[in-house]
Amino acid sequence: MLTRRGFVVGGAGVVVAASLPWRARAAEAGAAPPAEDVKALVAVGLDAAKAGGASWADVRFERLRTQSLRSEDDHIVHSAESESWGVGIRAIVAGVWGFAATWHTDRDAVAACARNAVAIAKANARIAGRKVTLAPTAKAVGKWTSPFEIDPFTVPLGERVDALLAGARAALAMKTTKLKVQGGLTWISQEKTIGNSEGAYFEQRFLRGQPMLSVTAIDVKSGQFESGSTDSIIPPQQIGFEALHGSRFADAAVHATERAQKRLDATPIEPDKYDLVIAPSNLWLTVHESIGHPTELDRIMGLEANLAGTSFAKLTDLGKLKYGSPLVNVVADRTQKHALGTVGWDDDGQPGDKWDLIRKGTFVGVQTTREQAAWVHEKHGHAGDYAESWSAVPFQRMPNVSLQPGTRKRTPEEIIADTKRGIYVEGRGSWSIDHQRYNFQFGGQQFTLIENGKLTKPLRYVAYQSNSVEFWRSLDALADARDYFVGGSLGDGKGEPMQANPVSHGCVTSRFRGIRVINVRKS
Amino acid sequence: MERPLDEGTARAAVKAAFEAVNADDVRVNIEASETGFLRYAVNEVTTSGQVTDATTTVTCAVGPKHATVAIHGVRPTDVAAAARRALELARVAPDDPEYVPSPGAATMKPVTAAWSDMPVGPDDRAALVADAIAVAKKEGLLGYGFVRDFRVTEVAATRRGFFGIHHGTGCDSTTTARTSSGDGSGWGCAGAVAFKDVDLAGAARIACDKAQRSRKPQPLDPGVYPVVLEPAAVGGLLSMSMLEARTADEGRSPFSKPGGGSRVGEKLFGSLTLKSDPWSLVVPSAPFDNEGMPRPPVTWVEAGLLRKLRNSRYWAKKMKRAADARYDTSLPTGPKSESLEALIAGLERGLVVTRLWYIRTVEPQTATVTGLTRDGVFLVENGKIVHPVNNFRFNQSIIGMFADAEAYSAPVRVTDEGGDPLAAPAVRCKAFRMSSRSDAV
Repeated sequence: MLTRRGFVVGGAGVVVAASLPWRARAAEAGAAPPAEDVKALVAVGLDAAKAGGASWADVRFERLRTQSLRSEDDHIVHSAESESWGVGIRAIVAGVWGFAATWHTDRDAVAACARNAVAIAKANARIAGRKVTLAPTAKAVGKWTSPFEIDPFTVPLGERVDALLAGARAALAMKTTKLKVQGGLTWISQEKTIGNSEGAYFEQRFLRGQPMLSVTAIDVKSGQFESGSTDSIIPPQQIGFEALHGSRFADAAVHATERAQKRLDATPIEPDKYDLVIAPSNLWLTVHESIGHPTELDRIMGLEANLAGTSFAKLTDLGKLKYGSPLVNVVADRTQKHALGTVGWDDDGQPGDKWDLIRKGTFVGVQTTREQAAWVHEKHGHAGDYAESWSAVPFQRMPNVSLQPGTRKRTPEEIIADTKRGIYVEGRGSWSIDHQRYNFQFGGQQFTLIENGKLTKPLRYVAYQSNSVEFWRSLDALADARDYFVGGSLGDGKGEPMQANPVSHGCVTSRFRGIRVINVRKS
Repeated sequence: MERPLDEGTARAAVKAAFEAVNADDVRVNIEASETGFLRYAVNEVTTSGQVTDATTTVTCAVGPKHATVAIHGVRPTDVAAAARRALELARVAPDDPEYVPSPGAATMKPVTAAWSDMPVGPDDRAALVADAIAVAKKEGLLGYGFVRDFRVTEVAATRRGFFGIHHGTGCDSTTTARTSSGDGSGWGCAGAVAFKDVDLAGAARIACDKAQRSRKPQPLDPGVYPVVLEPAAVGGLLSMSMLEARTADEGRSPFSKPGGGSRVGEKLFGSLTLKSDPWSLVVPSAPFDNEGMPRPPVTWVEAGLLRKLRNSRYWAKKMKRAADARYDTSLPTGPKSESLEALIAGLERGLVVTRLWYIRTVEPQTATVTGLTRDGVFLVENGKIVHPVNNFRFNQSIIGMFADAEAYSAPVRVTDEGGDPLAAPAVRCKAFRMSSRSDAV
């Protein structure tokens, strides 16, 4: 995940999962929806694009809403709602893409936007190369909504405030050390209505959200501090306000606080090679970085070289490269319930699907779109095209990429009991990987030494470093499906201009043999 | 050239919000922009587009209760509706003990150097990129890159009397050149307020030169090396710093002092001087922040001494200090400016690093970050580059790096990972910790 934004002075520095701009009820807040029927406006845009010479075009209206709360310790410091309407139009002219977008949604503006997209495509003819072609797909017609029980945009502000502060107060009640508790409650509703020149017309609503608390335990005397967060326990999902029912959030807040406090007194790690037993609350991000991104076809083809980078994996490796041990099976999936990468259709009108990336340790598949299908001789490609908003260009984004559970009955406790000397790693810490996805370094939120099959003492300043393929080849134990956990992020950054993609990854507790572990203060 | 938003339209939107609600405090922020971009890879265009956008954000307060509503657009009727919704939410919001009333009227000199009248269209972008691709093709290399130009109007207004409007333009570009065999990679960037001043072809020549010179890197073990970090590498590290007074005073920052308080007044940064100045010609910015606070030039670090940390309006009130605006640019300098060549000539044995990648905090108490080198790392012996070496992962304290810095170039405009401009100098530093090798090229 690339998203990172920090200024030298004045950045907010608060844990809010996303910051797309919207609000709750359009009729009251004033971001007026298009005055005309959206379907009619889509036709206006398509007609204008075709009249300008486009061989293919699509018109995408999006309504984007967010609601967000931010807390400092036991009080709310920010309450916001936001909404926007806008239209993004793509046109292919003589095999070259053009794109234009505007928040003006009247008939004339939509037509002008389409003409602008066409003009941009024409201007780019002088630097064009391979002609764009889109693989065939069934005409997308219909509606799809991500699953939820309670629409958070119908929940009164007071109820949302109470839910967030319940977690904050549970954390603050743990008074062993001085604490700083910062919280965020964010929901995003993205409604896409897309029509294209092939006759597709489909409407979707994606409802994503997450409550989150970050807790910092502070030892004022020594100047030491350590942090923990709830995001490894309650990840973002496509879900409604029911995510906050019960005591799950408060329990997660207590757990995050305990982790932070425990680390303050933990033993500094002795750098060495260790066997790592990695909980899914940490491993999901390693899956994302070391399998998810290297198997994106645009990276493999070099298209992201200027920023996000390319991949160690090559197309000629398909069917040959031993990406991991025979226990490693990884699927790409756009159909997994509640996972963030799940869609009815992608922005090209391709229906959500599921396919193998790694089978019994062998690299067998890549992530593609309709445009990319021909590059790898696929008939249809996969549902991979996504834009973060109406003002963004759809391009290949990651589906839910998940490590499959072991088929042998095995619990995390049994794996730990079977480990002589190692470290049990839990929770998301810092993460970093090189631009071809070889060398990575991951932190975590809790590290516990394993000695003779038992968890003995907490450790600090720990990070593990490895090479993607070496790491996955060293996997020798997997928990079974009972341990399956889906982590995720609302903001996987990629592209120029950079866009955020919501993505989830499932996995189980896994053991990796002989991994380099460093003390981040020393090595 | 026409501004994205003229002052009359901006004032009409602000007035609509103020007149729509009877709140104790109302603040309106507008950001209207026109952005064009073009992305290319493997010597051909991939995506490009133009976006017209405008966001209006209204914050209403009733006593210590407040709420914010944002919409896209500037139509007075829509803005008034947003204000009414913000007031409705504020009335049911809990009291915020950190609420501080908005600032009042202030006089600021406009940052006129931030604006260029030069129009930019699809053909201009295509021509700029065509020249850069031609450079790569001539060298037998593959060119990749991104160009983004923007015109933006920023407005902040408060019912208490503040009104600020700022117009800015800019074009920032990055380019990568790679060998077709994948054994060499180089990078360059070019940016300016005016599109005509963006020398993307020049950046492409630098990228191509580095791609050629970085071929067949020789293996070098990790370890602690003297380095010259080029401006883009320094820029990546600077953006990780958070000079916030509150986090320091609360004990959760590298600038927290054991036993309580902050490390303001300590000499932490060697010879670095760090200022923020919206009128700087390197990267000009709005002379006010979105809360309606003027941004006078300020010095955070002077000759290594941490002079001050930024106090938010709430924290300033609580600690009985003067409040500071939020600044989104900074200007780092050394005691004198040397050329990049002079910095390299001063290395007895060390590394020259083009840029850094995927920088993340790993240990906040010491401001230690990890990340990787990319697009050209070269071994220097006796002041001369001798050959390329492999890339590295580093784990390095930013404070320690500046404490060990011994020479600087003048700051220049570089482009960060998100495509935004920032000012950064090249720095020669006595010790930089490379933790492991990276096989990436």
